[in-house]
Amino acid sequence: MSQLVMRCKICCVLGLFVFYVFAEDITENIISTESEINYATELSENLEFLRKTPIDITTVKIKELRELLWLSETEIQKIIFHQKEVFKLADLRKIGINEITISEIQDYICFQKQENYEISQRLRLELKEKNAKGKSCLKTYQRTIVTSENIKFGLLTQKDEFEHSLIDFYAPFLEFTQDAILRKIILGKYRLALGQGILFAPKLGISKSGATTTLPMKNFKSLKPYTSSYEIWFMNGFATQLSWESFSLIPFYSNAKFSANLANDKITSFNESGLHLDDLEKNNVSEKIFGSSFCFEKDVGEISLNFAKINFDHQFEDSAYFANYSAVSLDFLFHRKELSIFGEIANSAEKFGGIMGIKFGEDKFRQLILTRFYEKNFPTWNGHAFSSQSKFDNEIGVYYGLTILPFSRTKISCFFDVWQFPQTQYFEKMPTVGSEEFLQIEHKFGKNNVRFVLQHKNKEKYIKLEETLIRDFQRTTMRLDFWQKIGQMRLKTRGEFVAEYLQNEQIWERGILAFQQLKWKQETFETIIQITAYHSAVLHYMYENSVDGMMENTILSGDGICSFLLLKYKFSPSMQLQFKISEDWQQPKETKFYLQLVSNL
Amino acid sequence: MKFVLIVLLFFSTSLFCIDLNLSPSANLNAVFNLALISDSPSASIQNPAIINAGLEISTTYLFNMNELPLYNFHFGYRYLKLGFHFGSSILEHPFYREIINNITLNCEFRNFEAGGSVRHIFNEVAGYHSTSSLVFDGGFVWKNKHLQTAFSVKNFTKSKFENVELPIFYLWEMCYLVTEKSKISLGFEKQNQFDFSIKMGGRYDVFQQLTIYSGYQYQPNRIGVGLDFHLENYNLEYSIQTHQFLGITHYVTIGYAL
Repeated sequence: MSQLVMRCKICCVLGLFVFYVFAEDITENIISTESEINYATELSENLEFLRKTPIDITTVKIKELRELLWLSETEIQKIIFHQKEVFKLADLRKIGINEITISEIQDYICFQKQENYEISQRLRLELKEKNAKGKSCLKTYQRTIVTSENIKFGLLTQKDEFEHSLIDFYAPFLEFTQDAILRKIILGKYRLALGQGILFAPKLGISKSGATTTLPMKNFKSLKPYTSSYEIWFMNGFATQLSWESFSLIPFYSNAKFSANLANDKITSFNESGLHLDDLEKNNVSEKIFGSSFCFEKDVGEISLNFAKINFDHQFEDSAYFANYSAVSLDFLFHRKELSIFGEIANSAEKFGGIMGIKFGEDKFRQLILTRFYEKNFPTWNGHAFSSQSKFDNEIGVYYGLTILPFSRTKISCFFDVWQFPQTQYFEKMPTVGSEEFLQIEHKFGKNNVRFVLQHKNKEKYIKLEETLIRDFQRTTMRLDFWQKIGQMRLKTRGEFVAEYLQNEQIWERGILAFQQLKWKQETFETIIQITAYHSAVLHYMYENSVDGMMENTILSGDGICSFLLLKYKFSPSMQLQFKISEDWQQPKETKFYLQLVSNL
Repeated sequence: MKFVLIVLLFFSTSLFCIDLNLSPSANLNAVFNLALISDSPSASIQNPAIINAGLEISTTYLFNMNELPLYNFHFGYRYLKLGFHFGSSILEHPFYREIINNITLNCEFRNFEAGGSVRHIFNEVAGYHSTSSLVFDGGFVWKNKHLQTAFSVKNFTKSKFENVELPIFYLWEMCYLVTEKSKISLGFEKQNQFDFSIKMGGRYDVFQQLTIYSGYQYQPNRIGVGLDFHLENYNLEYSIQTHQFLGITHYVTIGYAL
């Protein structure tokens, strides 16, 4: 009955506004590329955090502004230079910030200091209808962060469906910060990110996206408490940051336990899903790390020397991987006017890896060129560097990104990436190559936006376990988004066409997808309704609003219609209740329910 | 592996591999022969309607292979509305040699420039043949303050080499001056009996003494990057161009602007 009511609501809404479309999901603008390896947890978490605690333009520092991926280096310098003259969005136009850039950053900035909450808490329950009678079908997530002047305490707990304990995964941390030589101390679970992420970086992230000239150049905050629910590759122990004038030192120690698949007591692979059906396989491997990062920083840039010693308590089944090894890297970032040069060179377990890039150009025409090289079997456990694949070893490639603003309301972004896997891989029995081209044209007229995306990927890949053929696999995606703002409502329509082609076999597979989305936001109440129809023999990757407002990766294939309804009700100035129901109309037993309480006291 | 590929390229189909439209200088190597974006005198090789005054010599090992050195010399001169260019290119291999000399003339009419060139191609395969042929190219350029477009046909007379027709190239390019320091160019190259190859290039003057060139070619998919250091009238250029299967081509050019 409830499903019928929801369908009626969706049809009524879409019927009424069938000609009006909108989406001002700037996050999606960045996460607009589609790929089987797209997980944007830290990026979307950061942007979500910035939406809730926007950057105060009047007091912001240059490093914080670089977190806004849409700004070019010259725009950042303009904002810093005119910082005391900017009090509203119109002032940004006056100092020469492009119209389309302003529309992209406006949700993430403010012009007066925001209040810091002392207690931030969120509790989420997820339930799949299909498993309502099964065991432990509830998925729970809880995050509490208490802030008191210089001290921050946090606790994250999570239970996946089918698991027993409510604290199947937990991540506590205690963080102390001050403006002195001892700048920061973190105890508990934390994450470390250095340089371009070859040795240490948040594991879930994207390298290539619609932000073609900013995102490939990593700009991490080195040390942060671990607030992700990804149950592997975190650090657990302590880390400190010592700063003295232009020098800083980050010594760190970690002893973390992860879940791995073992054969003859040797590691064959790691369990990255976080799902533990057998308690014996849970946290059965420990990884000890100690090391330090020494950084010298000036206005023109920074240079860091990083060292770490890594020790797993089990050997690897594949003798190419070491259980006990040292890693050292040198990373640098230099700015001069409209030119940035960045890179990292690393040697880990006697394997070499490196990234070198240059970013240049003015507001209207920005370019970024990045080249990378990773030797085969380079240890990628704790890193996440720029790559065409999630596991970034055995690759050499060049990336070229451009952003052009030919008119004040038009933005063209494109990137080209070519790469080789010089050594054999899992299925591929000889060196293979690949390339990717991406073009995004966005135009803003009045309160409407239109965006066209064309993406083409070409790679030599085995689709089946045959050893005689290298199959030239091509995938082309064409997508048109059109959206409009009508008062407090935003309406968006998407049409997408995907084609896959296996050249050796002359096989064509195609698919189409269309959706409409309505967002309606009032002072205390927000609604998002989306209905998606697809007819496809290939996979479609799309992002769906989660209860947090973040985007979740959804994969669709076959014939079907799916929808979701998301309601957010702010029943007090500091508390919000969020509810989402998501279902596939062909498979009603797959319906998912989400309920989340967010409080900021 | 590389050697086998090169042998296949130059010997098994030697007659059809003459005049491969190789890049004549470092910055054209970075932008895949997009001529409007470049200041190089060698741009005339791609379109006779473009003549940049100057003198330059360039060298490379194609695909980073010592067996395949390529040397170029180019000289361009402008007088009033007339332009003159002379160029020479030598591809030297122990068993294969290709020498191309060309003379170009062009003339400017308001927003238009038109030009023609004649190329003498000499080809020698050790123990097989030693022959030459004359090839004619033509092209035009239209330009205004922010936009330029150029079209050229190489070997429009369908010249033959030992009774086999030499390749005919159709080259089109459009260049947009985004800002005073930035240019972007889009173009294609079509060789008869082959697919279109789409190209894109960017140029950015970082400082008065440094220019960065970058380019992308689709089918085959390659990326090129180049740096041009210039001090007064002298310049030194270095560029690289990737190849999907073979090594990177590194190119060096030394020039003098007239």
